[in-house]
This record gives sequence, structure tokens and C-alpha cells, in this order.
Amino acid sequence: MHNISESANQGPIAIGRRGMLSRCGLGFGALAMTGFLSDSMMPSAMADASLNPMAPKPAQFPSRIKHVIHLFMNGGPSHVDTFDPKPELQRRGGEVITSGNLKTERPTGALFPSPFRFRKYGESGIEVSDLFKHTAQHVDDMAIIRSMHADVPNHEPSLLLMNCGEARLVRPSMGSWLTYGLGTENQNLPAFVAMCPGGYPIQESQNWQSGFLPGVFQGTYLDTKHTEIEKLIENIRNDRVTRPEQTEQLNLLRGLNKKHLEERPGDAQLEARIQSFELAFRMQTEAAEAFDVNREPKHIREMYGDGVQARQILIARRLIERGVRFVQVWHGEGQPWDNHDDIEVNHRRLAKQCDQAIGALLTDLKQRGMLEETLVIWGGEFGRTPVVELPKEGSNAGKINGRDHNHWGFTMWMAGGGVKGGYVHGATDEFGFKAVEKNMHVHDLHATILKLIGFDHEKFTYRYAGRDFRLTDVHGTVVDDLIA
Amino acid sequence: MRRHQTDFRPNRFGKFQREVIAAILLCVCSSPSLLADERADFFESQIRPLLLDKCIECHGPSKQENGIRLDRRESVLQGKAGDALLITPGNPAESRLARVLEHSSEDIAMPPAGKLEDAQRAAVSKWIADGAYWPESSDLEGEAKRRAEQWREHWAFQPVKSPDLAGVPEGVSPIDFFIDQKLSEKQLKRSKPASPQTLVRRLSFALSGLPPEPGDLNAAAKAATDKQFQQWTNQYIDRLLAAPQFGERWGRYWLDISRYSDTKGYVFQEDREYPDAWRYREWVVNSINNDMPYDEFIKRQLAADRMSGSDDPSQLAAMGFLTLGRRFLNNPHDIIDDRIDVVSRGMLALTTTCARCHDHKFDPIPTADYYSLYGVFASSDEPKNEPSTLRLVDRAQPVEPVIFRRGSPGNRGDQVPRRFLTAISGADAKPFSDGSGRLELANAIADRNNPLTGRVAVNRVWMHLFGQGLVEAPSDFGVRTAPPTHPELLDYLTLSFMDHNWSVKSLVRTIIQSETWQQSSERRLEAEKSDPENRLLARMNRSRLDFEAHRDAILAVSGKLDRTIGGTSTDIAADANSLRRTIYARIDRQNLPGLFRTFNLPSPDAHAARRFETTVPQQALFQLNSPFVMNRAVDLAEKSRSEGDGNDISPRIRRLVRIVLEREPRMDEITSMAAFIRTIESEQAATGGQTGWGYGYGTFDEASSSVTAFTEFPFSGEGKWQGGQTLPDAKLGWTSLNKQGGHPGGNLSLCTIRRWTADMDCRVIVNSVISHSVDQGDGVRFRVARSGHGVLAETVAQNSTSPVATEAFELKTGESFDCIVDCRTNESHDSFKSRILVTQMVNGKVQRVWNSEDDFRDQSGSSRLDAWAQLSQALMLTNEFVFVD
Repeated sequence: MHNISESANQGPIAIGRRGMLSRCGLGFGALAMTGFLSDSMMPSAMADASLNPMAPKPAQFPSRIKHVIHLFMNGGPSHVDTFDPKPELQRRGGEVITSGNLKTERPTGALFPSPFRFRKYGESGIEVSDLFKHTAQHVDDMAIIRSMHADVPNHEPSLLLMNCGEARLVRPSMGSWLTYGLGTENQNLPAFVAMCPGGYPIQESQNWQSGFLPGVFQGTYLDTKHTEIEKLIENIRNDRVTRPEQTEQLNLLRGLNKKHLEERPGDAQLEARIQSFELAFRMQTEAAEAFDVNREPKHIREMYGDGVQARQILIARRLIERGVRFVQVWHGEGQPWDNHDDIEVNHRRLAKQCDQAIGALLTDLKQRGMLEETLVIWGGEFGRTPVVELPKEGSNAGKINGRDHNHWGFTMWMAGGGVKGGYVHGATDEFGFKAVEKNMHVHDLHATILKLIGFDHEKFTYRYAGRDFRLTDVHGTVVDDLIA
Repeated sequence: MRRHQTDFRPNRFGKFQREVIAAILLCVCSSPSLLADERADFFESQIRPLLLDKCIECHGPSKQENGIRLDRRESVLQGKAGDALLITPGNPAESRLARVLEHSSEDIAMPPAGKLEDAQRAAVSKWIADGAYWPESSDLEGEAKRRAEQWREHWAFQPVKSPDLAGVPEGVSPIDFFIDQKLSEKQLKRSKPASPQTLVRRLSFALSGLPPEPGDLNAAAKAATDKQFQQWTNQYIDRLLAAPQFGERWGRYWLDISRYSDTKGYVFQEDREYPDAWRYREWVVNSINNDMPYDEFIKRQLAADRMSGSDDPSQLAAMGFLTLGRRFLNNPHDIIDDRIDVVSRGMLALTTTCARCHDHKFDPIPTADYYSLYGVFASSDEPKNEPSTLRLVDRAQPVEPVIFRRGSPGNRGDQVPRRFLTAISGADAKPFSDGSGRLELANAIADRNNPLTGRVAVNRVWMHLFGQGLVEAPSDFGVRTAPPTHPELLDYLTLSFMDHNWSVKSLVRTIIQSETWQQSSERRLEAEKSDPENRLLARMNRSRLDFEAHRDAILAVSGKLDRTIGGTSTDIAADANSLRRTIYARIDRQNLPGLFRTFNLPSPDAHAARRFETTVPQQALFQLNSPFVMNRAVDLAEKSRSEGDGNDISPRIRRLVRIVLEREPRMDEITSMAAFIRTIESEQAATGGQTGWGYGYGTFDEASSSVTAFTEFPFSGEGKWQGGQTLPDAKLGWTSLNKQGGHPGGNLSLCTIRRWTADMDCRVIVNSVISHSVDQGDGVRFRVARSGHGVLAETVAQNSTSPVATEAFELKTGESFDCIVDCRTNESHDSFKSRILVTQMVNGKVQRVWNSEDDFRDQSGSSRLDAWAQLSQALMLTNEFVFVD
């Protein structure tokens, strides 16, 4: 699968192994590198892979991680109020600094100390603010990157950069790359799910776009405001043909197709289409079941808590438990964490909505032995300024109690298989404005994530429009410090 | 395409880091030093090819990025990167050249395209450690220059040559001749002709995208001799080519190329619509139907404003090709980039936009050429305040473009002329002088002597007709793309295409009249051994209908297809009763409906070279469960009905098979379909056609602990079931049910009843929560009861919420239980809420959890499919219907 490309994307006939190789313009070396060679020795497996792009495939090198949950705090959570304590900021609050106040989207003023208290957690003693006190129970499993930086202080390009590795042009999202590279373990569920309650985040479906990869690798969007399965997955329910009737219908269809196939033996395309109906039939039961959190025992539901965040984060666990490859959990429509004003009230409210569930997710994954095979990523598209945002017409209701966007420095964390726990990577300056130590660009994060999952970001490519594209384009350095 | 850092910044290493790197490098080069001869060998075998392959392109005779060149002895041995020496012989750690290969975070990374293999890096270190021996005589420069000019040999840049047709026998199509030539090299032969039935179906889908008319199949079958059949076929081809459906089918192919969309993509708060996008689609369909010469077809899409008919809005719509791209938050550079891309890949199969930031890695497209084209589009504006948003006009003062170094508009380089690509028109090609130069660009692309345009078009037509092109990558004819499988054939067709006034219809006719196209698609083992991909065409390729053709065919056989040509877009994903052909679907590029992605419609974000072809279960879900397909199944069943059949079901089965599969059913098929009809009909009879939830009222008899009368509510709509349009109803009063709950009537004969009927033999558990939430009245009573089994669960809610559950119990298909709510002693303040979950299990496994809220439907919803509609649906989902042999 790593070796399909734009010029070889169609299989009007069953594709032999040799044909596949020559069409892809890749030699055996390239195949061996992608870990495909062993599978490709079986022509039938090869044909399946070419027809079912979602067939599970190994990564380029061994990795424990099979699933990714990306908790996306869209809008940009403030790092100095959550995971990056700044005593100097607290001490010098109200002071107007003459140097070091970098240009962000809007005018800003004096140093604005965090209204939240930080405490040490775990054996590592890493400090986390009270906003994430449940999550903080797991610091010993988390690598906290306090030196993230991006390119510009605007949501749209930063969202695209975080998701697709490119701020402006249309490129596949990380989830699309991973499902393209790995397929999925459960053919009855979408491989790549993007959940966002109430509607889209800004930049909408582009955040989980497949770009030039085949459309099947695009994230399946679910509005988790809904609980009814038919609103979550298109055409999953049928009120007009009962289950037993549909069974009869499919039996009839199978019989007709069998006869047709007998006259056209060995056509993998025909077989694949027959298979797809069997899969669809099973998907109807399995998907409904996967999204029904009421099937969880009471103590589990209580551990995650109430509300839509708890429900969608619990759904995320149920999905990866069933083999879904990549689940992105967005906090909500638009840009909820974008608190240009009233940051204390708003950040408290937002964190309260998700903190307990995130803590529960990590506990739950660990209890089930799934944390080892799951990569949990937390963060926004950027952070927020340590200085207060000044009023500006049309932007923050004249209040002086919020923070502006900050791409110069922000925090993200990862937990799970292969991640070095209880570890803080890099640092921002004394106020938390700019990453100054072990700076980690979004491209570096992508390179490291790919490494954790078993891909060399420089060799995980797709040929399109005459070029071999990568998630990291021509950038990115793997940060081995983050890897256990 | 993003910039990459290529400047060798001054050495910023501390001593410690230097030592670490030295240690790393030393351990890979600890093998013994070499003698002079060996060192020469080592250089020639290890270093020279590496430099030529990986470095010289940017650091050689044609380019010296940052003043560094690695093709000459002295410039390597004495060259500097910033202040640091490129090479310190004997000391790899002190050599910047070796360090940048490490791709560490401490320095820039070279080559930018990806780290060298371990062995390659080790070789460089060893070479430096051994003194960086470079034989005086060794000249990389000459070789590098030869390489830089190699593209001139590339097949696609050679003039289109008239092949030698002397050997083609009288009456034989040159297509068949060239195909046979390659086949015979492998001792292969073409297949026998396809059957008349197959050929008619193949022709119809290829030219109209619709199944053949029954009359045409009959006429084909009547042809007594081969000659008669051939004559008839040729007339049929003429008829299909003349029909307006041809433009709808082939127009859609062009819309993939031109990344058609009805919307702009993400533009924040601006209006997203392109309200006139459909006019471009209209122009494409009409132009193809009128067989507009392809050169003119191209020219109008680039410069209709400068050609005849420039006062005709319908002709100006041609420029939607340029203007209907994504808007990239109105960033002008990205909009122009998108236009350069759609023109270059779409018309020339060149990946010009690779040259936005640096010279093309492989093809002869320098950055200067990119900005030459950039200047053309930067000098073309969309007129403001004009109803038609599709056209461009030249600026009064054209832009004199400069190179944006590394693609960054802030980093301005040399000025370049507005002109055509130098690889095609030559390094000394004349600059454009007429306005923006758009018309000159159009003429240069559509020039007969342009080696790409005609070949690219012919290859695309061939690909649509055969499922694969003569050239594998239809939108990239660059140096990395292998020559066509049949170079002479491609050139023959290209010349003939241009000689026939660039007529697409005539090209299509030439191809489909060949024996090669008309041969059978049956697989042949001997051919597959030597040509597993069938690139040599020892048989025809079987093809799956694309989304458009499958949907259109469903509409056609169900008798509902709206054959109106042209018009505005329609949201077929949302409207299950849209009967328009699929080409008229509204395409929203920002949030492309899942349906389109599922069925491989190309992303309208950019030009699409070809469609992916995948098979995923979501496709089957649409075909099984979507209202569109089910509604058409009902239509088709209705169409097949005949009063004269009496009790005999086989005539209707025959009619259905004839309509859908356009053949007579076999006996075994009639048998299995008849059995299907009987099974479904008897199941539906057993359940009264009603399974799952039913909504009614009735009497609960305390004595027998069961419902003694159940009547379905006479009125349903707007989310309610009740006695009449308004409440209270004269007869039933307030008695009613809705999604969340309902209201019982004033006496025990007006209980509300949700009746659940099993659709299969199963075991169920009923969990309910009943709420009554006013502090007045005496609340409501809720019971789950089953005829013959009495009350299974019971509770009362009075300003309270009461959960209640039953034990598990068995139900046979068609058996039911009731959820009954009564008013207790009085009916005031008796609105209640209820949520009833029915966990349905078969063999201990949960089949489905029914949910009274989620499952709730009023009668405005669609009704059950009867046995005939189900059979109709199954037929439209068969592989036989969806594939063309």
C-alpha cells in the first residue's frame, strides 16, 4: 500500500505483484523498506491490498502503537495556565515588558499572571495547573513538550499546519497518512474518525482531508452532539427493510453474483465487491454497538463523567478498542479555547468539561493494557500569550482579561506506547512567550509521531503530480528524547 | 513545495558537539586507509556517482546554490560554506559537507529530499578521512552537463512523428496493427470479438454513460451476418455520438481535469458560492456535444475574452476552467499557483508548480518559467461588479514578473519575461507582448507543433475507453514517466486527431471502431502470464461503472431519469428524489459530501489525473440503505407491475430481469427469485408488514392483564401520532404519542400503546424510564404487557422519574409486546416522557438495541419495501449491472 501512487491507482483488472511493482516505479528495495515485501509474496494478499485500501498493513519498522487518539483543544489553550508554570510571570504580573513581547495577532499589554494554581504531581513532580488536575494524575506517563512552536499566530494556517503539515496548500492530514500507511484492523468501522460536537471546527473538513490521497482515507466526521447512530454514520440504518429481509436480499444477491463470477473466474474486483456487501451488513450491527456508550458499565461511565466531552472521549476508547486507527476528538464547534477575554472563566469551564474524561481515558487505557498500543496526543493549534490582550474594536468586547494567540511557544503532551513518561521536553522563556530550549516545531512533532508509530518520515512518501510528498514536506527532525 | 533551507550558515558548533560528531563519524570510517589506486577506485565507484546523483543538480554546472558546486575538484577541495571549509581532508568531523549529511538538529540537512543511506554517508566520511582524494583527471562537470541536457531525449518532448504505415494491410485499422505488433512480440493474439449483447452495452456506457435502450439490443440481435451487424454498429455509434448524453458523459471527465466545484472552499465569512459555476459545466457539455475542435476548446478556456464571441456570456463561461478553483483565503499567489497547475497538468501533463520554489527536480522547468506563467495570470483580473464571475480580463498594465526566491513573495529575485515554457518553445522564445499574454499562451499550448497537447488529449481519451492509458501517468509526461506502451500508436492517433481538426468525436469513433476495442474481455491465462496487467491489450478490460454511471443507470432502469440537458446544480447527496443525471450534482469543495468521497469522486481541490477505484463497505451501505436507491427500487417494482399476471409471479420476474439486466432470466434465477418473493411476502404477512414500533391506543383489561383492543392512531405527522390534526381530538381527546413520550386519554380505554413487533425470532429485555414532571395530578402508570403472558413490568411516575425493566423473554417473528401508559384516576397534567430500550438478542449475541426515541418515526416517513421492491433493489446491486464486460 505504501506504493500505490497517482499513476497506478486503478485496478481495472486483478493486479499481479510484478505489475504492481512496475506500475509504482519502485524497486524491491523500496518495498522491503516499507515492510511490504513479506506480504507481497502472496499474490492474493497483494490483490486484496490493492482493492481494499483499508486492509491492515505493517508499518515500516516495528512499533507497539496501533492507534492514535488526538485530543484537539481547538482555539488554542493557554500553556501558562495549564502545563507550563511560570513563576517569573506570577512575580512580575502587571509589568509592561520592554523586550520579549513578540508580535502576535492583536495588540497586547502587561504581563498577565495565571489565575490558576500549579501543583506537583506524580513521582516526576511535574507541575500542572488545577485546570487539569485529573489529567495530571498521569504525568508519569506523559511527555510534556513545553517548547512547541508554529509559524503564524492565526487559526486557519496553524490548524492546517498541525493537522496536515502545511499551512496553506491542500495536503493530506496526519490521520489520512496513517490510515494510508497502516490500513485498519476493523473493516466494519471507519478507519479514521474525527469527532466534533455541534458542528465543525474552523477550516472544517480540511482538518481531516485526504488531499491527494484516495478519498477513502479522509476522516469520517461525526457530530457527537447526536447520539443516534444514523446521524453519526451515513446509511447505517434501514427502517424500510428489516434485518431478516436484508439477510434474504443479500443471500439472493450473493447467489446472482456467484453465478456471474463463475463465468468470469478470478476477477478480484468482482470478488471484492461481493465482499463489501458482507462487510456492510456486519458494520450495521457493529457500528451501532461501538457508538453506544450505554453499554459501558456504570463505574466506567461515572469515571469519565457527564457531558458530551466525556461521551466522545469514551467513544474514542471504544473505537480504538475495536481497531479504529486514528480518532481525533475536537473540543467543539468553531474555536472554543480561543479565549481572548474572560480567560479565567472560560478556561475553567472548558477544562472542567474535558479534564475528568481525559484523566479517565488514560486510567482506562492503562487498566485495559491498551495504553501501550495507543498514542494519546493533547494540544491545540498554538498557545496563548503571557501578556494580556488589549481591547480592540470588534474583537474582545473591550475586556482586558484574556490572552492573544501565541505561536512562538506553546505546550503539547503525548502519552502511551513508546513515549517517555514523566518527562518535560524543552522550555519557553521566563514568561512563557517563546520556546527557547530544545525548540520543537510542528514538523518535528510530526516526524516524532511517525517514528513512534513506525515510520521514517523522510521515507513515508506518496507520489503525486510528479513529486514524492511527505507529511513533513522537506522539514522535520525526529526528537528521540521523547521516545522511551 | 515549501522552501527549504539551503544556505550553509556559519558554523555554530561548540567544541563538545564537534567531538561527539567526530566520534560518530570516526566509528564509521575506522577501516584501514587506502593506497592511491584504491583511493581513485573508491572515488570513482563510491563518491562520483553519489555526487552526480544527489548533489550536482543544485550544486553543479547549471546551478550553484549558495555558491557551492560539487562537480569540480578545486571548488570542492577549496570551497567554503559560510566560513567553514566544505572539506577538511582527513577530518570528517571538521568537514561541513559530512556534517550536513547527518540530518541532525544541529545543522541544516542535505540532501533536502532525504537523508542518504548509512552506507553512503559512511563512504563520504571514509573518503574525507582518507584525504578526500579527487583524481586530477576526473571531470564531473561534463557528465553533469550531459545529464542536465538529457531531458531533450525524453520521448514526450520529441515532435509527434508520423509512423510508418506501409505495413498496414488494406482494411485493417492502424490501431489493431500496432496493438498486434506488440502482442506478437510476446507470441500473443487479440481475443475474439465481444458478443453483440456485450458490445452494445459497452458502447452505450462508453458514449452515453447510460444502459442501452432495449430496442437497440433487439436490433443488434437481429443482424443476421457479421457485416450487417458491423453496419448496424457503425450507425449506432453515430447515433450515440450525436446524442446530447455524449456531452454529459465526456463532459464529466473534463470536469475532473478542471477541478469543478460549485463553491470556493474555505473563505471565512465571505459568500462561498460560485453561483455561475454551472454555466461553465454547461459550456463544457455543449462544446463537447458540438464537437468543438480541441485546440479551440483549450483556447477558449484560457482566453475566450480575446476570441470571437467575446461578447457572448455563454462563451465567456469557458474561462471557469481558470476561475473556479479554490480561493485559499484569497491569497493571490496560491490562486495563481492553482491556475498554473490546472493548465499545466490538465493540458500539458507537466508538473510546472513544482518549480514555484526551486527549479523542477526532474523536468526541464526552471523557476523562471514558473514565474513567466505567473506573470501571465497576475496580469489577468476577474472584473469586479459583474454578474458573471467566471471570466478574466487583461490588466491595462501587465505585470512584469520577478522570481520569488523559494516561493516567497517577500524575497524577490530576477525579473523574467512573460512567455511560454522554455522546454517547449526554446530558451530564446519571444516574450508575450499582447496584453497579459494569455491568448499567446493559449495559442502556444494549442499549437500543432507542441509535442505534448495532442498526445495528452489522445492519451486521456484512450484511458477513458480502455481503463488505462497508453502512457501510465496521464497528467505527468515528465522525464520520470515511462514511454507509452505503444509509442507509434500514440503518435499515429495524435496526428490523425490533429488532422481531423482536433475532433474528439472522430477520435473516439476511430478507437471504438477498432477490433481491439471491440474484443472480448474474457480472461485468458496464456496472455496473463506474459502480460499480467493487460497493458498490451490481448483482451478488453472489464470496467466497473463509476458513481455517475451507476447512479444514472439506476435512474434509467427505474424509469425516472430526468433527461433535461444542462441547468443549475442540484444537491443529489441531500435530495433522495433528485432525478437528474449525476453530472449536475452540486459539488461543495469545502465539505465534499461523504457519498462522493466514498465513491471516489475526485477531490475538487486540484486537478485530478484520474480517479481512484476502491471497494469499501460504505459503498454497499449506500446501495443497501440509502433512501435514493430504495426509492428507485420502489419505482422499478412499480414499473414492472402488470395487472394481467394473476397469481403467476414469473412474468413479473422476467420483466424485471429484462429491464435491469437486459436479458432473459435463466430458469434457476427465476426459481431463486420466486422463492425470495414468497419468503419476503410470507414474512411480511406474518408481521402484518409491521415490525418494530407501532403507535396506537386501546384498552388495558385489568382482569386479563392484557391489551384487549389496539388501534393505530388515525393521524400522524409533525412528529406525533394522535386522534386528528389538532388536540384535543373530538374522539380521542389528548391521547397522543411523540418521540419523547406522550399523553394518555381520560379513561382506561384510551391508554397510549407503543407496540413492538419482533422482526425475527429473538430474546429481548425491555428497559424503560418514565418521567412525569409536574407537581399536580396523580401521575401516570406504565406497564409492559404481552398477550397471554400478562404484565412483565409496571411502575408509576408522579412528579418523578421511574426506571423499570423486564426479565428477558422470547419472541417469535411477528409476536409483539405493548408499552402501555394510562392516566390512573384522572387525566389532568398527564404529559409524560418515556425512553424505552429494547435489547434484542439472537443466540446470546446482541443484534440491535431499539430505542423508542431514536427509532421514532411519524407516518410522513417512507414505508416498508415490499418483496418486489426488495428484488428490484437486489437486481440493481448485482455485479452484472455494475460491471461492463
